[in-house]
Amino acid sequence: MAEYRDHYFEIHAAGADVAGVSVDAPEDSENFRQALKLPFPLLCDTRRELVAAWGVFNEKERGGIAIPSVFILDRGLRLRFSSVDRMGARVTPSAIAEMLRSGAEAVTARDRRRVIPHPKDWLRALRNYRGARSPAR
Amino acid sequence: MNAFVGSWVRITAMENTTNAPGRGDTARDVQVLDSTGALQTISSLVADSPRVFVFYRGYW
Repeated sequence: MAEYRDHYFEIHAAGADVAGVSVDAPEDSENFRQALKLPFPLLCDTRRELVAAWGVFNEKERGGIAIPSVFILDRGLRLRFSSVDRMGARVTPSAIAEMLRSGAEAVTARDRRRVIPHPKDWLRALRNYRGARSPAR
Repeated sequence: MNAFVGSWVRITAMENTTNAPGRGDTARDVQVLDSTGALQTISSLVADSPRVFVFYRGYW
């Protein structure tokens, strides 16, 4: 989220706003917002209704959390862009700002930053994979 | 080595498999609280301008 804070004024100058979304409780989110000095609101999907409706619910971790992802919504709730992060690649806030500025409706593969996953991310992916393969109990 | 690579390919292929809506779809409107405790609707948040919704794992 700190990266979106750093690019907030570019995004705002391109005519859009930002909101962060997690399943955290309001008080935790407000602590997070103040700690990072985020200039945009944080939404608290504690009922997991939004993450489920938008297909980014990871039910395998911590009682169910959001899958990191980015959506751009126009007025009328039309989706202009959606991107679900992958462990090794994710769309950058600067690419989002550029897309908004240029009026484009997609980012190129070049705009998806390649990242070296943290060992914790590898373990998490492995646990999710094993969980998905295990028969339901 | 081949087994490791094969497993890794399967893990990354399954990673973040979602049924997220795509470009041109209409997103479902939902009511959620913001961090101040105020009730918001997604439609009200995009009433004035487009908005970038950034989903993150959480703060812990």
